[in-house]
Amino acid sequence: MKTAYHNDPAMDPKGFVLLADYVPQIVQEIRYYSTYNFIGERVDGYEEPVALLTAEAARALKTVANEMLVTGYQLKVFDAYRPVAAVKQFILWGIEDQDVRMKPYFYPDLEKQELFSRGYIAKQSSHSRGSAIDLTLLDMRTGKEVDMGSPFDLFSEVSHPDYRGITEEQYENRMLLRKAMVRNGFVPFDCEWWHFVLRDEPYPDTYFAFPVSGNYLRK
Amino acid sequence: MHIRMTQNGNALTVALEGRLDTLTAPELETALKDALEGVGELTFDLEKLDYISSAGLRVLLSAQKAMNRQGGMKVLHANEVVMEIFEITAFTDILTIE
Repeated sequence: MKTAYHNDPAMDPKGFVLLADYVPQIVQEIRYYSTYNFIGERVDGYEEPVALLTAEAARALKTVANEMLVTGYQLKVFDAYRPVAAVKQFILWGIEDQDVRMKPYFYPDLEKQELFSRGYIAKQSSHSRGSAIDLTLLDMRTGKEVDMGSPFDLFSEVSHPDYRGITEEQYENRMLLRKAMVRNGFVPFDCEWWHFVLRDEPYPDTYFAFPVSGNYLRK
Repeated sequence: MHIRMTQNGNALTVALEGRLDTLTAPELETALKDALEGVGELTFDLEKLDYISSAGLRVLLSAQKAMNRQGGMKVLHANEVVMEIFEITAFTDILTIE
């Protein structure tokens, strides 16, 4: 029996899937479930270390994964669907001035509040619409993440995909990921080499609030 | 942080200069405690305020609640950085910002 969502479409996960069910070869490191993120704590709404995505985005990502597999790369996902509660926590964290414990690793050059004006944290995230993904490539030959010139969630100019202060090889690695994603219907983001949104989102105006939980999807 | 208060009848203007954060917010809170007595119109002039954190928002919210009971309050001349914080936290719905 399907749970009634009290007429709140933001709590209805109907169009969402467990990414690992669609793309079994996907490697996941859901950073906001862990404490290894820019806040330093598990983020609100992340109840399981899984990636959820709309079926449309998962389908497109499957094609990317299959393409990259042929050339020896796996996709490694850091974040996909992000509940509204998580975004709210990012904002509350951003306006608080004392807790900068993760600054050396994630925002060494910026004040916390600059993360808003520079586009790294927004009031509403495309991730909450369910068709955005943060990912990198894993080289199967070495078992390591491909060198993109900066790590995931480093909020800095260095992470802008077109930043030319990185090596030629690092830039080419970014473009390798970007080209595969764009070819398969994703739109890149000019501030973060790891972030892509499906061009034709199925829910362009809905910011979902249900938890990141495979269990919730199954209810 | 510098606090400059100007009283005109039952209207009080509080001009802030510098940063309103965890370290400086208690100073403003203390200053307002007695200063709001008998005030019907409170104005915060934020022209010289560089930065506001959640600690500062708390003090403004507290002042807004107090003034809701005894008159009115408005916030003037917030710069771009401060306005962004007001917008992102929806304090634009709570405060009267001009």
